[in-house]
Amino acid sequence: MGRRGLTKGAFLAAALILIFVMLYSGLQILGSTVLQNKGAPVATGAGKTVVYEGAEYYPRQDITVVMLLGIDEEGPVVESAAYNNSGGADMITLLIFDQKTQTCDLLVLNRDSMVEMPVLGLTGKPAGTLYGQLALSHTYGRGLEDSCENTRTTVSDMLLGAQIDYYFSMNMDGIAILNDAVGGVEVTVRDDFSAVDPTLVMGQKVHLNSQQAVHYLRSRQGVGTGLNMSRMERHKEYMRGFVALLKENLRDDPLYASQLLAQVEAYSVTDCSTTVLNRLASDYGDYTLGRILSPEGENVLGDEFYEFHLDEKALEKLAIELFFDKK
Amino acid sequence: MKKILSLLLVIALCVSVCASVMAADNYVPSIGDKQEPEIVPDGDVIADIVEIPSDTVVDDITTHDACLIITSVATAQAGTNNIPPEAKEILLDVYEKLVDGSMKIPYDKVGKDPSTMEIRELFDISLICQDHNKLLGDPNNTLRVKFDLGVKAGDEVYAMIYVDGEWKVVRACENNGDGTVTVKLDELCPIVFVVEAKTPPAQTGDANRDTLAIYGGLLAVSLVAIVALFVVYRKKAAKE
Repeated sequence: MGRRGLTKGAFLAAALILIFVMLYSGLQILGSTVLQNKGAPVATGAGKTVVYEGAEYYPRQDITVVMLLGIDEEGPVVESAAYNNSGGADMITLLIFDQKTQTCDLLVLNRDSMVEMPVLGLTGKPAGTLYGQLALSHTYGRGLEDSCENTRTTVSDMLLGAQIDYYFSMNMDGIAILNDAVGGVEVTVRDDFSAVDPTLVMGQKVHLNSQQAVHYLRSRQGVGTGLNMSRMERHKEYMRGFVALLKENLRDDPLYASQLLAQVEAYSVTDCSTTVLNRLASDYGDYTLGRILSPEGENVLGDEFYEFHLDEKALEKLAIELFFDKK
Repeated sequence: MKKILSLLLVIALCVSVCASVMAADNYVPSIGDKQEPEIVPDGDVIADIVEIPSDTVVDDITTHDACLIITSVATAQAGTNNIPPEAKEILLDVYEKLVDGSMKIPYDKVGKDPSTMEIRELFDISLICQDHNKLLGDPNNTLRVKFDLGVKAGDEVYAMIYVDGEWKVVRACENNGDGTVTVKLDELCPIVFVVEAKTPPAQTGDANRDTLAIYGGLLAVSLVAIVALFVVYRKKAAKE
């Protein structure tokens, strides 16, 4: 090849490289704008490999994790006027949709779990951490997406950096609406509600109306032992019934999930768009309800409030089992 | 016999009432939100006025005095405590200005770069009893109080007070290593505790902005380069 040919070849090579760079950049830009939907999984700092018992594990790619939060606030969601808010996360549950087994496991976390959590400062930036009850993680921020994200980060960190793909939080008044929307959940009353709601007779099967559902899920004072752990058992029982009814409704109407969301929109905060929600319902609506799990630990009375001290080893093992695969 | 029976019945009634009261007292409320930082008392004493620099205690302020009022922004907004009206107005005004950015904390006074710092707490501290205020008014005295901020041992924590339209560094601010911080305050007013801001993990919005910046720049540079390459090639070809 002559000198002219070599020069022509060099220019051609350079041009091809530049064209490739342009195409790649263009695709990246498209991917983060036009092609991205609101509900795309968010990197929470997770997605990293972990080392457990000498072996390396990476985050499972065949699960989708949705975090459900029940917020201790009445009425519609309102942005706090201060830089923190009064809505503790009283219920924290992860729905783990497993594509391999076509099941959905539930991981119900104790709101009193003692964990390290980010503190959000006056301008919304992280301002150190706090060791305290998991429920507090939602009280940092203004009670909207910022507070949900703070809880997502806290839960993810608690579970070795497990990726949480979506979240859905709801104020207490949403319980009544959801309960009625699915036709009322039936439960066998587990605790003594005589001081709170005499219509909930212990040991009897009750088809909960809206008011009963709120009492059953929310009440603690004057009910049974008064402990959050008893309330968590009621949450689990209710969720079994609710999921069954939800699936029935989804079979009849594939858009049911988004219609349900619309009914509680004023009481909820989510990073799921309607499109994403319907996609989740379509992809996972047929899944069988699997295990309902809770991390082990010890419930103790601290100086003022209950503290649930997690069994760290058992939690690690559980997190590896649910969210990671061996390399 | 009747009297004994009546007495026994009364005793039984009292015991059953007491039992139900005790059962109700067993209920432990859930932890709610943390509003204003809690003062860590030493027995009954929630703060003391000490001499500078010897720290000799001049006066104790106890829980019974009900003189020291700590007010968070949320409490001030709700108007649910007895913060003096002028102090409330200043606190809320300072809060609004810090949020909208029209007021900045002078981090240079503590030798820190503003981009690395964040306000962990903003609240008002007021002393409403004349006798304590008189003692604190003496320039040889300062108020010493310990707050439970939940900070980690080793965290750098700074405190500033807003007095006469200006943020001043407090006389002393010490991280005790157990989550508590002890401060010495010559004047009472809005106070901020500031710490290092840790960068949060990138959220979708942030990731998008970073992606656009990086790949947008790359696209632009590549385009310019390919045009330049074409021009140079054409010139070279024309010469030959």
